[in-house]
Amino acid sequence: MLIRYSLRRLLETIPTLFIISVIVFSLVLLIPGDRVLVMLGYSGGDIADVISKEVYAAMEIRLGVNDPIPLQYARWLGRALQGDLGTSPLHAIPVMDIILARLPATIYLALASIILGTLVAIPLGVAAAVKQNTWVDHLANGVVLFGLVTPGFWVALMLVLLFGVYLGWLPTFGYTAPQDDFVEFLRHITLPTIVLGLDFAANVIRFIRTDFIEQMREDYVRTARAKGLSERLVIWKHIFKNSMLATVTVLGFDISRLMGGSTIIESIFAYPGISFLLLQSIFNRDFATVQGVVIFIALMVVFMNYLADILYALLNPRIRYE
Amino acid sequence: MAILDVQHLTVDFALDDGGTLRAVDDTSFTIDSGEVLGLVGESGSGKSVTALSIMRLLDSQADITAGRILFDGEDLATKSEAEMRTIRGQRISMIFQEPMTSLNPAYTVGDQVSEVFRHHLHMGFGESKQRAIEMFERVKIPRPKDTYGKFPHEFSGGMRQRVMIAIALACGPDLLIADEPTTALDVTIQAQVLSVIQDLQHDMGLALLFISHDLEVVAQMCDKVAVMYGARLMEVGESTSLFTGPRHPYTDGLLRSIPRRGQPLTPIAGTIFDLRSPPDGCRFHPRCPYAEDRCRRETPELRALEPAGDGRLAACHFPLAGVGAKA
Amino acid sequence: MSMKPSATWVRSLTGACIGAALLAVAAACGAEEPTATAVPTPTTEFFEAGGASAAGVAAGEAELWEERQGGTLIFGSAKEVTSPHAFTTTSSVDGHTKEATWLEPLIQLGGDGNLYPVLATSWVANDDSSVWTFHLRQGVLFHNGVEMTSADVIWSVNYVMDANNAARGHGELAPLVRSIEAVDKYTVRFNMAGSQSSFPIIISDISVLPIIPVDSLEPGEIQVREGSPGTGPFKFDEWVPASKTVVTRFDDYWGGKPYLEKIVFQLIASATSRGNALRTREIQLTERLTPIFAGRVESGEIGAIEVSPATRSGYRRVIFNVDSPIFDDIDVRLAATYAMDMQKLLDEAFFGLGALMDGVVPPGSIWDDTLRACCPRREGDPDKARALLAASSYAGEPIRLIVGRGQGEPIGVSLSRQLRDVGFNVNLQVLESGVYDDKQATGDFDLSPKGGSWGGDPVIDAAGRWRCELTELHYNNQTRYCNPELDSMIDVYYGLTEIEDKLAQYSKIATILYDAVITKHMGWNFTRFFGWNDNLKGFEHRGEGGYTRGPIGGGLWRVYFED
Ligand SMILES: Nc1ncnc2c1ncn2[C@@H]1O[C@H](COP(=O)(O)OP(=O)(O)OP(=O)(O)O)[C@@H](O)[C@H]1O
Ligand code: SF4
Ligand SMILES: [Mg+2]
Repeated sequence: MLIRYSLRRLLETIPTLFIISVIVFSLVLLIPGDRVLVMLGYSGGDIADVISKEVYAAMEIRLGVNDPIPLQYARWLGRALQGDLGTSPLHAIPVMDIILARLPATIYLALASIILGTLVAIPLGVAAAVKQNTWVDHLANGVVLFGLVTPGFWVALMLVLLFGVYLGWLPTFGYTAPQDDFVEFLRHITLPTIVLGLDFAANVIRFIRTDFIEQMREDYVRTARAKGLSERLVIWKHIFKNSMLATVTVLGFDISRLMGGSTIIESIFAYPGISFLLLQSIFNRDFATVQGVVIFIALMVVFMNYLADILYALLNPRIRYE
Repeated sequence: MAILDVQHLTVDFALDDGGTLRAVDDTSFTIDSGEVLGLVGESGSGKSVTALSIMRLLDSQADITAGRILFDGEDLATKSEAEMRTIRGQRISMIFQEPMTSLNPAYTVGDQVSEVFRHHLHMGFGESKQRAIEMFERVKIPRPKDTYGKFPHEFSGGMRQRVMIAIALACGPDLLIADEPTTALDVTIQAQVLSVIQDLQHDMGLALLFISHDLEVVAQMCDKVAVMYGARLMEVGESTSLFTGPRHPYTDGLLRSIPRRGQPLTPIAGTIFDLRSPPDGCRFHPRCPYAEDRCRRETPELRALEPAGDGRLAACHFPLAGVGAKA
Repeated sequence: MSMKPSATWVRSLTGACIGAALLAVAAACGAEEPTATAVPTPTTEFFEAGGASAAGVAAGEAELWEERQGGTLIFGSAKEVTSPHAFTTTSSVDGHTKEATWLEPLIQLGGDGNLYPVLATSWVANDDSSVWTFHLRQGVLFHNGVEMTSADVIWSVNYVMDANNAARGHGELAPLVRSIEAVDKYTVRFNMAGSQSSFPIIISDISVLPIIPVDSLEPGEIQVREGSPGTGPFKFDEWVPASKTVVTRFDDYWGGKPYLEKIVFQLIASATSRGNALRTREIQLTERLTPIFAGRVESGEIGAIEVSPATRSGYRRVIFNVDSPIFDDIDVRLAATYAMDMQKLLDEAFFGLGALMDGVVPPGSIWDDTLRACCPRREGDPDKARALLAASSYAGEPIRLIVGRGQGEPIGVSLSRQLRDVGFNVNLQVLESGVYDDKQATGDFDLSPKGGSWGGDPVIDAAGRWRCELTELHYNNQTRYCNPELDSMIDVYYGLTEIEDKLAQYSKIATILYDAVITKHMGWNFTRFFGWNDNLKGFEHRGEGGYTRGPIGGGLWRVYFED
């Protein structure tokens, strides 16, 4: 049953992906700014040198920007379906390779943030709901407010100042692949993880607390208590699974957001993920890379939502038959 | 011997506005082993609160402020949470009115039954599963084996209530509290579920506290009946004699308000008072056709009535003769 | 740390260039012994001292090198090398990085305004500057181990000249050069299109003509993932887009072995992050630090770090779109010109760090003297602005003032306030850089602040902005001003050789521009700072924001770590 449902939902994502690809492709082309000029070094108005018409024309042809857009799209889609997202006009590295080279960094960071956020948020959110108006609840509330009110970049800079500059415990920027040096990997990923994890946790705590309080009023909870179950079983078995149902839907969205990377965090920590790549590619009007990265992020969002749906179906037996 | 002896039970709710509400007031009754006591009364009279007090499952705003709940000689009112957990589901069980929401939608019904075996009797998965399937048989669920792995939403209300019964009776309790177990069901289903309860009660020799406002069902199911009005008991007595010869004007009114062939339907005049400000004296007096001055001043105690020996108790200064006419 | 600009840099130009060039020939000739250590260190001091001291310097050099060599420098870059392609330069940082490490031009413009020999040891023009002959340095090895000869220079020039290769320098080189030929293995001759006395200055820009080996690139090859071999002190090693560029020591560098083993140009886009990483010593040298950070270093709050401003990293000006319905009226332009108080702008938008300017010339230079004489600065004068505005055709239409996000923002805010103050209706638009460029190219603006940098000659640097023929290519002439008389004056200027003649011609050109009121010059911007750890020695920069090594001193070539 679940397998059939999963397959059906997977098939349903195909039209979504197609529409996304059309939108991404055309939106990227709509970004104002002359990519020929950018390629020739006329970005930002800082350079005063003369540019010749011939070179402009030569570059235009090279970038293929003169072809009709539907043709450009068809060509692009045809290649994309074979896993070829084109090559950046700036260099000879296939866009797919660049993305794949940077994707792990973003995914590790997202996963670490999700794990940290979840580890903090679930116990805290549940405790806050179960022990309303106690110090745990106030602590949870504090975390939520902090997460919602303080901008990520500020938290990032404060953490860098404290743990990097003053205490000297952790590096302030960069990334090391786990297979190269796992300890260094952890050291580099710690601060960005705290920033993103806290942000993630704030959302999750807020959600879990509200939902848990609602769940605790449900009749099935009274039934569980009437069975003589311990409070631990009532909360972590009976209420928790039901509460996760709603939370998973929200998490799916938050998680896919994290998977897309955080431009601000990647910029501040000079973290070589795909989000910063996207930013640089926009600056460079490197549309092939922009399209590739955006499509990749969209794919990931769709896939995470798909996973959330499957997880939801796993948790919620009703959905499979509807 | 009485398995349950409730003495002067008083439950107060702390209201959000700072006031208090007495949902159960100075209520006493007993249930013997194997006996079925019906608890009847209008909505809001305190039946469920009484039941939840026995289970010690009251909301946090509620507090048992007086009285004792002697179960098998021990006072439940003073037991710790941990002690109560060994009693709940094992020695006293409860089934609720809403079969649609009382089961956990996220777990299979089998799990919800076998869980009780695992928790209280420390069985393994295989054994608890076996026992759960047996329970499904006993509550007459068709194809009990297939039932095990199904989820609550795959069942009708009647079947779910049977699952609830299976959960409640799994550990062979001494006392079952059924709080309006069939109110939410269709009439035909109602009868089936009631017969399941009745059969099992009989087979297992259960003491049963059966809460309902359906007097006919109570008459059919119960050995003894207690009538509640505005947080207090008005009358207690043998089921048959109480229904044929009510001694309390409120019981009398209740009986007259159910449609019966050949008799005009006469609902009790007026409405129930606000529990936050109960009237002085007899709390039924604003609606009682027999009320006199004394009724407005003095609160009548629940006491044994003449002729002594039939066990009838009523809280009235001027009890009825027992044949529908004023004494 | 000094925040004042040097008043003496660029005192003289062409005359001095020739002088320096001749000196350079002497120096180079006296030093062409083949042993590596005997190759002199061609610092400015060396040229000034003359070739005689070369041997002395060289003798100590080997020991010194042993003492200082080694280590990896992590340089915190504000922008990335967008492509390792030799003929693609997309930003000043891109060019600086390449020039500081693996690519070299024939000649270089020093911070003193003089031209210095790099791969060419001397250069001579015929009488009317229609033929330029360059003598190449002998014994220069490319990173692939092959010696640089005339053939490499000719190939490089021709590659740039071919429009199909879309080289960055094409626009500058193609109109000037007709052909290039080899005189011998170490001499090349440029046949110019007419008189081109300013040719050397043009090719001193690394983005115009770096020299790489013959056939390093396929025709039309613009996508590369590796840098071509160059002649610089460091070899290209690795380039990771949106992340870093790595170079390693080139032991056979003609100028002498560099000290550092490796340099990683790590992209750290945030200035705050660069400052923090410098404090933790994760990076040891960085650029474009904020004035706030520099102030904290100066006050002693942040220790063990040195900072130094790039006083000539760029200038700012405000341009009018003379095609716009509002600013096609010169009286409205004049009113706006008087409305703008540039000192106030520097104070508000640049922490007061900067020097006012009258044209695209460095303050205190001979050009500046000429400019002051012909074209007195139009100081901010709100009353005059109001009066002019009242008498003009302006009827309260909103002015599209476009600025780039980031540094442009405070400029836009300050300018808007000043313009509104005299009665202009300002519509300030803060735009992402590509959009900002696009609007300028398409003319969708009325007023806009722009940047620019000094390339050594005010006419050659900026001619593209004024020429009619380029008005259709609006990324050059964005004011859209066209005056054929001015164009012919520029043509004449290109043929002049004597500095006096150039100054006189510049005076005429400047006067026309002054009367046309198409630009208001704002000032030099001093808000960019270099910073480095105090155990890092030998870092010098020319003030223009670059970190170029070479005969003109400084750069990364002579940088070393003190234990
Ligand atoms: N959580 C609560 N807070 C405040 N008052 C409560 C709460 N729960 C019950 N009460 C009050 O206690 C009184 C008794 O309620 P109870 O649920 O026992 O009635 P009942 O006799 O079971 O009625 P019904 O037939 O409708 O189930 C009601 O008047 C109700 O207002
Ligand atoms: S005490 Fe009085 S008011 Fe109350 S029930 Fe009896 S007769 Fe009626
Ligand atoms: Mg009830």
